[in-house]
Amino acid sequence: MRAPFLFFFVQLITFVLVLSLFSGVSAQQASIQGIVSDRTNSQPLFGANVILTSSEDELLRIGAAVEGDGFYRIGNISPGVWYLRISFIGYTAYQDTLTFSPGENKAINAELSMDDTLLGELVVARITGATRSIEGAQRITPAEIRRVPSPAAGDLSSYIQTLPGVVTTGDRGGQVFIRGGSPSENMVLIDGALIYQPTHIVGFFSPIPSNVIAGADFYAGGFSPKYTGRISSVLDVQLRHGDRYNTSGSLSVSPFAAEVFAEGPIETGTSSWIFSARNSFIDRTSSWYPIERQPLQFQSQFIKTSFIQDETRCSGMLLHTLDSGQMDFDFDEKIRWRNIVVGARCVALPQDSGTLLTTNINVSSFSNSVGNIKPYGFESSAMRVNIDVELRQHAGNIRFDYGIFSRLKYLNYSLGENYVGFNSASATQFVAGGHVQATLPAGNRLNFQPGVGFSYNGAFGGSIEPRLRYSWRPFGRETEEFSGSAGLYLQPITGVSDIRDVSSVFVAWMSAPLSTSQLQSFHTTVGWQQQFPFGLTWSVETYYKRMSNIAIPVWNTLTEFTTELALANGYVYGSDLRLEFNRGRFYSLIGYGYNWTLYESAQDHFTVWFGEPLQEFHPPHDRRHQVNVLASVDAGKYTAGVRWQLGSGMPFTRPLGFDDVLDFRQRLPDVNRERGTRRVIIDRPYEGRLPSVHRLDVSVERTFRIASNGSNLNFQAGVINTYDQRNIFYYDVYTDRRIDQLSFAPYLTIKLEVK
Amino acid sequence: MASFKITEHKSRSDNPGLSYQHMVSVFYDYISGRGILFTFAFSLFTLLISCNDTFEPFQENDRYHFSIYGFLDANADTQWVRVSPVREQFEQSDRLPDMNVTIENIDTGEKTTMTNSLVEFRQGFYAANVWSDFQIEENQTYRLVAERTHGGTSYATVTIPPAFPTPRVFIDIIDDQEPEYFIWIDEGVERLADVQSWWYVRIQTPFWQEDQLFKFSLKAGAEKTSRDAYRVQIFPDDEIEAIMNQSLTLQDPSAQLIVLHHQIFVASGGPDWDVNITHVDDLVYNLPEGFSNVENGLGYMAGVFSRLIPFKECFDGPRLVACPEERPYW
Repeated sequence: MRAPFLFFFVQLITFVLVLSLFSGVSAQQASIQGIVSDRTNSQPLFGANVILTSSEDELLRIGAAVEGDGFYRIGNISPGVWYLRISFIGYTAYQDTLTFSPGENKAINAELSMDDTLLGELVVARITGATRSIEGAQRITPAEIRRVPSPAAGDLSSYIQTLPGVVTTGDRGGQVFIRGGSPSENMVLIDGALIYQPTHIVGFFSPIPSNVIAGADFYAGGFSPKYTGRISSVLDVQLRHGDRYNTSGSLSVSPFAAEVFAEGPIETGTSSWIFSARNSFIDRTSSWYPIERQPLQFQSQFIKTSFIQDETRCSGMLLHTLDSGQMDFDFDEKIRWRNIVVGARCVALPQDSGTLLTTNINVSSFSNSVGNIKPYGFESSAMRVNIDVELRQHAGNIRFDYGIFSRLKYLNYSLGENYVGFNSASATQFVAGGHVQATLPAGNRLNFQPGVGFSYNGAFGGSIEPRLRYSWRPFGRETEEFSGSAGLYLQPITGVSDIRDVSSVFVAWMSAPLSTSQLQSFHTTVGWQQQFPFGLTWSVETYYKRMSNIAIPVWNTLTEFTTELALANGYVYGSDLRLEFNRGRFYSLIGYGYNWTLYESAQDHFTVWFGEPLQEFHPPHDRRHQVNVLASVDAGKYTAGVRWQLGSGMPFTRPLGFDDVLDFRQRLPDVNRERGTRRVIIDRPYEGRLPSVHRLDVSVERTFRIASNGSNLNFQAGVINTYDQRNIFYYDVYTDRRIDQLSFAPYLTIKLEVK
Repeated sequence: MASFKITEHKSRSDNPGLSYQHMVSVFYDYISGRGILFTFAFSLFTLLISCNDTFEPFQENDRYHFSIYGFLDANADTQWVRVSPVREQFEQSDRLPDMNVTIENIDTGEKTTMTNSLVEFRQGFYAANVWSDFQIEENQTYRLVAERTHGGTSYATVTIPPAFPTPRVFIDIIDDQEPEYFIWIDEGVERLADVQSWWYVRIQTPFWQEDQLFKFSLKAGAEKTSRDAYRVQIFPDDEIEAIMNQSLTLQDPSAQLIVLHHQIFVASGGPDWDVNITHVDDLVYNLPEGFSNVENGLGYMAGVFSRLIPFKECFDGPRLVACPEERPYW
């Protein structure tokens, strides 16, 4: 299967490369590139316009929009004098007169200063939003994140959950399943560093506070070869630099958590720091509410320092998160996890080199445990040391992205089970590899992005992951685009969770199943997006995924966690439909996701159990329909937000009953002295469907200016689960208990911003 | 990097002629001017459509009525069998199940009703057993039938094997070496169901004492000889050490272990005893029908003939003989 795909892929690249070279321009044409950022905090100004106007003909204008990392490039510039204007909403435009020589490649970095009087100016053809994807990525901005009603006053986790194709189990644990993939198959990067468990135990709080986020690129599938090591999705979060000129901070308090945030210069104009810390209150404050006690605790601390020079921006950051609590409030079993991420990143665009260089060095550490009594508990940890270098260059019309990486991973788990014994293992993996991707315009309407990721893994040998993205603008306008992707994805490690229910948060990280082959997935997507001039955009994307070597715990009937693994193949298809209206003070997003996920697995005992060795089943995260409605209105002094979500029921295993098994294998059992082992009697797993869940969250916000220097006091009042729907979180078939999500929960968040 | 063509978007007031834009503008004005009202109306709407579901997780069960585990022993005074209806609760309740259990000699037609009994284990866990002093005979076939008052019957049929000679214990002492202990089971056991070492011990501290029974299976070490006999080696010191390790009380230096008695239990299985049971995989064994001889139910029942002897050598003059059989010490 893979050989014909590769052959086709190579043929396609050759064809497009030839087409692209013929459609290219002569070497006499000049080019300009650079980075556009905010002057105070050096944030890339995604979507800013870079426009060159010919001095000879004012109607001759060419331009580009700034990308997520602040980079822009305009090629095919005829030699001569051009007027450069770089503008962005709310910022004073950068203007210059440039003279281009034949073949010259200029590098102009621009830092724009904010100016409130210019908020009315806006000419942006590249619109962000939930309906728009650019080169396969959906760009998420802090402004969009803040639209979602949440006690965190806008949170990345809450926002991600509004997107079609993203399935969450509920408001506890924060597990995210994207287009049929499991949480351990998602890659979440913060400033290039992996975070293993990017969730807090309270699902609407992310470990990454929104006020340190500069932006994020979200790929629900079909992502580029730059990202290797995961097979489902990518969330690449870029973090803010601190303010290089002024010190400011904020303090917010809600019944759920308190957060302190501060930033300022280290050396004015050249370096900065930014700090954020969160601590939960919900375990203590829940007794004030008409809700059951919430034994959930989390905390996180983040600090980043940045050093900004003309050509380089270097930063170092540290993130620590700690979560603990009970997924089932009635069951005294505590889960606990900790993330530590340390990283350094440098982005450089040396003058005259024409190469954007990004270097990352980072260490990601994760540990989790469940159970109160040692040694009868579960523990697992994972650590990754990563070094990578990425470069971006242009040759004529062709853009090349390429890079290399090396990673050292250490994985460990230890599972102690009452009466069952102990099961533990550790593994070390060294992986080295790289990627190459070309962006090949074929005429003005077609764009191809073939690429390949390659790696050598000490455990699995060499591997190649060919990938392709393409887009077609049939009418020559950026506002209407047909796009698609296809690619192969490999994952050398796997996170195994308890099969008994989808809500299980504990993850035993281990090498890919049976150490024979990596998890593998083939993605293909096809989509259409269209933007209307009056603020309405819509998009639809259909996808198909075929996964193999997925590690699932073997099916059994006893109440025990097992790391005895079986392999499964998965088939996923679905469609995400989004409708977004964004005009003036009103914003709304309606998203519908249809997903169909099927696993098939062959396990030795299936023949005894079912009479045949192969079983097909819908895994417990196969949510078939999901609807999200999000609306916010800026009504004068108030901002109101509403979010309604509906999810169809997920598969669960219906029990026939319970009994106690007595074991005859070692000896004749004594029925008066032996209790036996609890067993759930099940026919076929995952044959039932849980009830649908739906919930309405609302919030109203008002900000008061309390000082002339811009200090504010912000109040946000809201309600989670406004109509108190009894939403099931999960059903534990092994203990016959239903666990529900959060009921009606009002809150008030007060935020003091000091400048 | 995608380049774009510059497009100037005029404000809505500059485009009055476009009807669809006009409609959107009206909608926009309505929404932005009545944001709070809209939010309230939307909330009310969802409030009206909300309803709490009923969730019934159990699948209808007309296949497995009872769970039956245990064995009928021709050499036992009382027959105890675990019989309980397949329950819809995780734990067995503290009430006797509503059931009627009978045992019938298929060969003679003799039949009796067994007595329901509730066993309480530590930590408040319960199990439902049935018992009877119905006489079980060798070479006879018996059927245990469990029936619910409101319907549903499960049954298991077993055949009792013939009696076999009483096993002997002998101690092999060679010069200064540590003695070795063996159990010798003469020919006559076609299917060895179990060999156990039973320790009756008293765990005693200065303030407290408790009598306990510890059982160790020796079946895995049974060796069949060329004369269809079995020889089983026993390691008493290892078993005592295991008892010490299993009892938290005995970790206390002031605690003392007193061995009250030591017996050996040997059981022969009937013709329906599966000699390969030892090799059945965990996953298969725990499946509803993975290893079961219960019709319309779950579990496993065996028919055995057993011998219980003291752990000691007995001699008839110089000749090693079988010791007289014993009843359980308690």
